[in-house]
Amino acid sequence: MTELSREIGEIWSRLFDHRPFLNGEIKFMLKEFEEKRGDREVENLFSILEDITEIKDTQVDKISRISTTGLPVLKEKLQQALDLTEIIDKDYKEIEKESEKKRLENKEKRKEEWDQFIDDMNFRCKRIDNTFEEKEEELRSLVDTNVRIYPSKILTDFLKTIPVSKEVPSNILNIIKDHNKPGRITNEVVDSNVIQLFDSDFETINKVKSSLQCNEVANKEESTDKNEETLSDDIKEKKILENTKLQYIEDVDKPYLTTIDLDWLYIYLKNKRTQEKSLPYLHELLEGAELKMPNNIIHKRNPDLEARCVKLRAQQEAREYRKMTKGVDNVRIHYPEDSIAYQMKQLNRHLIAIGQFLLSIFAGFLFGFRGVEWMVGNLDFGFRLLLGVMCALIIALAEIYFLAKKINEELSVPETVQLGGPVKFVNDTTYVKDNTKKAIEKEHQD
Amino acid sequence: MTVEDTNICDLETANDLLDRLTLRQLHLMEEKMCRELNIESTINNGCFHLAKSRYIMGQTSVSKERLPTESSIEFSASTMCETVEEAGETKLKIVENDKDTVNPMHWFGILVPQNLHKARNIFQNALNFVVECANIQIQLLENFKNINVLRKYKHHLKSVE
Repeated sequence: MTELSREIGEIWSRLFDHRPFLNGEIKFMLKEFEEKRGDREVENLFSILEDITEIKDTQVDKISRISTTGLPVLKEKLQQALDLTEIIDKDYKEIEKESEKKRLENKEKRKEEWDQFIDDMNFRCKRIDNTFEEKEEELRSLVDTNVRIYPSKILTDFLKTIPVSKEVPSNILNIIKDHNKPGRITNEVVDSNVIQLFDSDFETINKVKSSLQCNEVANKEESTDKNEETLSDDIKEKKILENTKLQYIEDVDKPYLTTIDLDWLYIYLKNKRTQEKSLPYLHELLEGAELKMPNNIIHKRNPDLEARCVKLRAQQEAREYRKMTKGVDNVRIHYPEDSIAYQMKQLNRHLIAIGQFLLSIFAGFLFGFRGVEWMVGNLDFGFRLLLGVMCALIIALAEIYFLAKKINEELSVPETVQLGGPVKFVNDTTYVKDNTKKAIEKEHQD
Repeated sequence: MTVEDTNICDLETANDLLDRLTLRQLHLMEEKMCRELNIESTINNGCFHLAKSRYIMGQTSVSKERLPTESSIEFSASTMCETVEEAGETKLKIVENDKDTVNPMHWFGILVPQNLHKARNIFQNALNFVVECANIQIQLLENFKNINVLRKYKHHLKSVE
């Protein structure tokens, strides 16, 4: 029993008696916290106190002294630096403004120069156009299309009775004042309405025609009288013509009138006829006056051109002669067709032409087959093939045309080497004799 | 007869008319010269273009041999001319013809240079000028006839007086 109670007591104390465990823990805790720590903290505090007092004694004064002297200087210096940077900034802004202004000015100047340049070019183009037109004009055979009328004596005498005024055209003035200067073409304007023929005029003319026809039919018995009258008229006309023939000889620089002058004269006469009735009519005055049409200026061919033409013609004939005698001449019949160089060159030419032809067709097919697909997107294979073949066909047709043209040119191939000596001997008369010798020389020179 | 004549026109108007007819003759002569100059310059121009196309195409392509000879098929011209009565005067007028014509470009090849086309246009222009010249010539002859008639009339009137 006692053992049981002792053991129960042991179990009970082991389960519920925490004191030894706690005691151990407490001792450990105490050891750690108190004993090991020891005076560690206190020592730290003491060292801090020492440092502070030290600083307080020595360093603080020094700091305050230095800062009182140094800090204002620093402030000054900083202020100066700030001022300088401000100045620099201002200067920089000014320079930028100036450079901007200069840039604008330069731009303006360049624009002006460009405009001037364009104007200059335009002016030069216009000048060139003008000179071209002038040259074209020179090519025309006639510049002056005015008919010249050399007045007869009757006309000159009448003209001298015209009072000189501002409205008198200059050619007539010439004659009045007897200046004997050659006439000029004037640009004076004359009212052309007065000179026009109106419908009433045409009616009168037709009536006159018909009446004259009636007269001729009715008066056949009086024809003898009429013949005499017309004969006398003819004699009168012949006399006038003879008079004018004398004037043909010296008429180069005589003063002449133009149609404009005559128009003016007609108007003048018409106006004056209202005052005086006995003025002669213009057509009477003009009887016997000589008309001169402007002549073509005959340009003589430039002698240089002439010489060159002769030389070129001789060269051409020499070339044709050589071509003609090619088959007959013993030397030239083999040359150049039999030399290997010539044959190789010809072969190359033909191969290149055919190569170009095939390449173009192939490229066309490729374009239709692949290119269109790349551009448009996915296409059916059969459609692509069709496109390719169509492109190739079109290109083939065009290429065949050009190939045919080229082969046609080949048939008349020019001479590759000029046999028979260089061109400058073309004019030589001893050409034919030295023919073979020169040919051989040329061959070896190759 | 004399009464009728003076009713048609008296001496004064006849003289005046004669004056104006003479002046018109001179003006017509000058105009004709101008037109002839036009013809000349256009033909020059056209020949120049022909020469240029000959230079381009070669001497055999543009040459006289290409023109149709007497043994080739007959065709009619593409530009015809007819006389027209207008305002009492007969004039010549150009009329385009479409049937049975041949395009002359085909004589020189298939692809002809532009200069040949230009030359064709220039020559067609020249045709217009030729017709104008012919018209003026007709007017000149008419005028001359009128002058002669009036002069005879004048002499007739003078003889009657």
